[in-house]
Amino acid sequence: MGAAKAVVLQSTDVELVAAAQKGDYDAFEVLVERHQDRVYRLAYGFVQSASDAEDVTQETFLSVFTHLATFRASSAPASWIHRITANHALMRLRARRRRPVMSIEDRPSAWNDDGKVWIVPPGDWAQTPDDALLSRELGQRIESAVDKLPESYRVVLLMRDVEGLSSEEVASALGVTIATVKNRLHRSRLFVRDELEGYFRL
Amino acid sequence: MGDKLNTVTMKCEIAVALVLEFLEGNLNPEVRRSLESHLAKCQPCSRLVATYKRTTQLCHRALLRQPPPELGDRLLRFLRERTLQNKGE
Repeated sequence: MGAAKAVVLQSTDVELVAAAQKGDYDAFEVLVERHQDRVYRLAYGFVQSASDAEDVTQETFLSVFTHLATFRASSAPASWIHRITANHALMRLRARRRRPVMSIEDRPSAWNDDGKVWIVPPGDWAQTPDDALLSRELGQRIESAVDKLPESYRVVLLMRDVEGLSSEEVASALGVTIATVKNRLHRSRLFVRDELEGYFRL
Repeated sequence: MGDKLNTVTMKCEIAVALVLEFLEGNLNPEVRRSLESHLAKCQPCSRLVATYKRTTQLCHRALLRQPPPELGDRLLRFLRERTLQNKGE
């Protein structure tokens, strides 16, 4: 690593973008290195394929480079990069033949008509030991449940609960309101919880 | 169990709708107290909250995908080829 690159390692994202805008390629590479893992994981959440996720990661940072001049310091570079990631991932998904997904709006109600009594009350599996929770079978069950979600819901769940982004960051990346993010997240969590309920009942 | 739950003021349907904002600490004090009172009396909703939280932990552990270790090298190589060549470097 050159001395110049070692210096920019200490810089903030905004400083890195500003330096890259002036032609500092080391600054651009540090920005890439800082964000590449999260961009890959976000891309994976959309495209569900390692090779496609890597392609989206490459396309994302190429776009970041070519659009450096358009970035305005009024927004966070991370949000800008996540938004570009989402756009590339969605373009790739649209190029694929869409698979049918179930509507999570149409699930039967969990409670009776007056909304006061559960028809099928939740089980008591919140305290299940971690060893059991990490089983391969359970992991597959979770993947399968999340895979059933409509795409616009699945990506919100992955960005919030797997990547740990805030609702504000997810909203910014996807171009939707914070209320929409929370609504999709809540429905997604309830759906996956329901699926796991079935698993733990067996 | 049905008769017992019917004595609870807040409907389970409403309680479930509030779980996310409750766990994020965003409910106003009055609504939060009402929900906490409901949860204290309603075992199914209390279990729902606990398993809802557990679901988020499970998703994180089961679905976090680490990039391949060689991603960084391949990415920088790709970007150098696509960006620096245009500048004659």
